[in-house]
Amino acid sequence: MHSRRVTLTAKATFTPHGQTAVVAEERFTLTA
Amino acid sequence: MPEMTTVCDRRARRGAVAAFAFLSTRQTLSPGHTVAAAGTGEDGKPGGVYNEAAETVGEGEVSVGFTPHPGTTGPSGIAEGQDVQAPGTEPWPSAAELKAMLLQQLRPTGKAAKIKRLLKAGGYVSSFHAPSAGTAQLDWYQLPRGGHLSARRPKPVLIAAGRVTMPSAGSARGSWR
Repeated sequence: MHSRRVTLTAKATFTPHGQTAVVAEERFTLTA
Repeated sequence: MPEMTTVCDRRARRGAVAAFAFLSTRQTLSPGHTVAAAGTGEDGKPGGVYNEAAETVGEGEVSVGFTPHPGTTGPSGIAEGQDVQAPGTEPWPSAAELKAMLLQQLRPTGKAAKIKRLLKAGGYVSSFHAPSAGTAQLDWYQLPRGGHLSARRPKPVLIAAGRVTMPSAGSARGSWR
């Protein structure tokens, strides 16, 4: 039986040219 | 006399003197070069233009002077220690603004974000908006119970990853597979 919900954590890193990276994390749930 | 103009990094480089340091880390400057930095003041109003001349003070060292360009001083002009930026450009976003922007785009949305569609398409395609040029990396992890992204154990499982390079501010499409 397949799961109908999957909780994942997204991690985004944005590095502007010539600057230090900015990191953001957030949990979200994928549904069927 | 050779002359160069640059746009300065907002957070890491402050003031026209820092503009010279920024340049010197990337380009070889010899005595006699002039660095010009232009930008806006803290109030967002257009600032002035400053020129700096380099002179050699010792082996491997270069000293710069800080002399406001005539006629550019004033309440909205650049002062030493202030951020500098090319005139006519948007203000650089702060780290907090960038983080807020990332948080808004982290969560997949729409019908394409359903499990069934993701499996069928083999990934997720979305547009990414950035307020400045740069590179965005977005990873999706599944964390075991009690796990954390920064923890080595239990190890997070990478589910999908994508990378978008933005040559300038705006939107670009990226895929996460």
